[in-house]
Amino acid sequence: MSSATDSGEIPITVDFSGGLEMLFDNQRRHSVSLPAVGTGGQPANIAFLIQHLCKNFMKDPRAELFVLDNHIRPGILVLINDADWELEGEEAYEIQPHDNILFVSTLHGG
Amino acid sequence: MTSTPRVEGSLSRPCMKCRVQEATLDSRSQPVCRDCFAKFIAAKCIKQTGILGKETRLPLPTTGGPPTGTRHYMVGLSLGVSSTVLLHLLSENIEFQLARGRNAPFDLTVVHIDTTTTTTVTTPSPAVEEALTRYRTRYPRFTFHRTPLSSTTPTPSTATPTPLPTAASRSDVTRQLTRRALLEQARARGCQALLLGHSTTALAELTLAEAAKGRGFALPWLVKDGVAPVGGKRKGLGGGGGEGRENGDGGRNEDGEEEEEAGKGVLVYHPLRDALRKELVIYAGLVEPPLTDLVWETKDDAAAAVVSHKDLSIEEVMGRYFAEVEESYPSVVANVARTTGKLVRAGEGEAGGEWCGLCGMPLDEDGDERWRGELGIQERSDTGTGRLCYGCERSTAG
Amino acid sequence: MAPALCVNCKTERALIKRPKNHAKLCKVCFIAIFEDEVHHTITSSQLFQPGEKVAIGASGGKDSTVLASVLKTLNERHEYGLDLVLLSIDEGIKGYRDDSLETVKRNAVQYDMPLTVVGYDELYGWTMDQVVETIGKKGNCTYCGVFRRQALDRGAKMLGIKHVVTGHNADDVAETVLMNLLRGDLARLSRSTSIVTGDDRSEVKRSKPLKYSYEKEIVLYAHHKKLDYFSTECIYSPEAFRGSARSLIKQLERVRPTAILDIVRSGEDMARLVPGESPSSCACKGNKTSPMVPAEDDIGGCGSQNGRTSGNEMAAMDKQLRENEAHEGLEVDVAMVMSESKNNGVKKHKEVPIRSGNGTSKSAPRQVRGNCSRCGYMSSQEICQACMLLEGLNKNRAQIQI
Repeated sequence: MSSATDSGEIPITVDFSGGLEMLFDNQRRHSVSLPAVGTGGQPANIAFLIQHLCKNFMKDPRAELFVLDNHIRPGILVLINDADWELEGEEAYEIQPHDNILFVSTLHGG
Repeated sequence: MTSTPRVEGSLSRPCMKCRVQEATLDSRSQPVCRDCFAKFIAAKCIKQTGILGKETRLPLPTTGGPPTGTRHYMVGLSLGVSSTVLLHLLSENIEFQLARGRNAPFDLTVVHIDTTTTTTVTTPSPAVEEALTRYRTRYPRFTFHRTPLSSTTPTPSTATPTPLPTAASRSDVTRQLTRRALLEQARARGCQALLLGHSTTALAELTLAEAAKGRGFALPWLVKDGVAPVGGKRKGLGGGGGEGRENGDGGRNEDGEEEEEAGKGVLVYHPLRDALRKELVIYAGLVEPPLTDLVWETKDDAAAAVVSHKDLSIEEVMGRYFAEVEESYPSVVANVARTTGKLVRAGEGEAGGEWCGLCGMPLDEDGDERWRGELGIQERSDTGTGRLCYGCERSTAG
Repeated sequence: MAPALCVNCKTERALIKRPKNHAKLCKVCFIAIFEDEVHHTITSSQLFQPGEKVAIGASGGKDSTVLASVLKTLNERHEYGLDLVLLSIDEGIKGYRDDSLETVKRNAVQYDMPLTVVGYDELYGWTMDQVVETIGKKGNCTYCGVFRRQALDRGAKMLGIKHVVTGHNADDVAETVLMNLLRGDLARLSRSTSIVTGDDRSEVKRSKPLKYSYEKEIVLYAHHKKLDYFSTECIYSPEAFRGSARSLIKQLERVRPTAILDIVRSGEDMARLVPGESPSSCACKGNKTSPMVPAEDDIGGCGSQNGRTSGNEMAAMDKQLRENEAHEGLEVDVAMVMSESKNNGVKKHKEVPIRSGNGTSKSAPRQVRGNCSRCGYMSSQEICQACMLLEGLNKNRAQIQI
């Protein structure tokens, strides 16, 4: 699979639910223009997206509710275009234009 | 252990036990000196071996140990801190008795199950041999054996012909087979008991880890001291039953022919069950020369900075969890093994009791019946190891 | 990576990887299989009787919303003949329960089920806001948890309903198993793994039809069925996930997804190993009635967290255990056990009782159960926990008024 443009940004939508929206300005859906190349020079993947979200979108000081030990907090599900990220390669999945990435917490509310 | 004499009356923080020396350590919320701390740890081991001594005063009819005099135990040495401390304390115990002109209370055979060799890698790791040489030099009184896991029965390759799917599965199967190999070695070498170095913390980790791997049923067999099954098809355990057997099979013992060699149990003890892991680590550093010089550091350092959860085992997750719990809530740690100790050992009551072909623990017919179909996976074909327990099924399922 | 196909229909793209067996399923097959499995749990445990009136403990959160949706579907599909109603508890926390109760009200319309909301003020004369005003934020979760345990039963009793179902899932049960192992409470361990709680003396029976359902699948079910649920933390509950049994469960799940159900299985198996417990609690082997165990200390805790524990609980446990140790004098019992093994000389290599501690009690004592002398609710004490807490609160109120 080829990634988006070599330079520039990848337009995607990112959704938060299950309580995670609280960490991101109480907003469920975010339109994100993700740099196409990650920090290490590799195509932007989910790991890079997570860093990007923490740096640019998180409005809450409690980052550990989203990321723990440099990985997504256990108990948070990630869906890539509605598919469990485990089916897509998890953090290594390379983001494609117009992808929808959903982060949903299972940790809140009974 | 040597101690530096202090000028009395000038102690800034006297040891709460002897009140003579400066406290340099904190032990169970008390400031203590190193000598008192060392005595405290030694006492925990001596207490347990004392009970074991009474337990093994008569020769076990099933193991054919020496009829009188010195008892013969086997120590399972992982080359880690806890089993090394155990070995050292037992050695000190013997030296102490001999220095008073008494007989050695027991003799030890030390066995290390070497998991570095596989069917493809047959040359033993030189690091293991080097480590064992260090131990032999330090404790010339004992005999040390290295047994490759790949030479035991079942071997990792016969138990799981197909490659195991995950790091967690590989770690689990290796652990089960190592334990089983130790039990078989103890029986084969005619030892009256197998001594394992588990600390309170290790037993708590074992309890929660085995529960997380679906072996709750076998936990009382794994955590409590007592006769443990050695696996294989067998008839009766010759009185090795637990409280679960209300009326016991009293007569089975005399019925010698019923006993198959493969089915005989081995008495397993955990003499350090009352000491926390952090205490054993401190102790290992206090001994001169430090026991930490002996220990073979394997992948513990790598585990501390693990990059992917895919490389983690259940045991490592538990290890990290209990490291935190032990630091803040030692009483909770101590409580776990104590709780499991109250559970009944079950599954071997009838002569027809079957053992798991991999870990050698009793099979749980009732539990398996209840969970049939609960997981939505088809029954596994027999791989030649015989029936597996639920936990081993889970570890070997693709 | 080529998209994987559903292992069930083999035509649609797989969207779900099941934690319990790694099966890859498409959305439609996942929803069908999830429902089938809950149906299997219900029938194999014989949870319901035709014509039974059942109250669904509804918080507006994911678990109870999924439970209501699935039960409605199954009740129609398999003709259970159940009369389903929603029962919500209003703890009286402004800004928290208000929003979630709105969700429950919408659910009542969506699922066409009557809804009853019962408030702590109605049941106990205190809202949680008033409790916090009186005792402060510290320890208020205890009050909320204790009140909550009885609230559903009391609410059901008011409605003349004898069966309450709750949304407790496999993760909740697994957490309780681990907590009770840490806590050393075997009696509770064996009760908490039971799918049905409440005994002959309790007027209301409780059950958890989602006991074997992964929390992950519950969230995915809600997502793919686009269910309307509410998620927020209680404003009074501390964010202390780290070090809690819950976070341990989630870490185990990530390393090995089967671990959660494996803990549930271990818990059930260990329940049978508790001295004095009945050997089998299986209803499918022809036992007509499910085992009934008292519900008083069923998975309780805070409504927002559905019984999950915070790290703080560990500190309380450790303190309690230390006190117990101090009382028992752990070092003393060596001599006793040694003489014990001497007496048992005949069965020489029988298993020796564990000696690290509680040498006296080989079997966990069975709690004697009765009813609270004040409110009549089932209790192991003369006065139940809720009435004890109320007594304290009411004294406090009196003092404040003076």
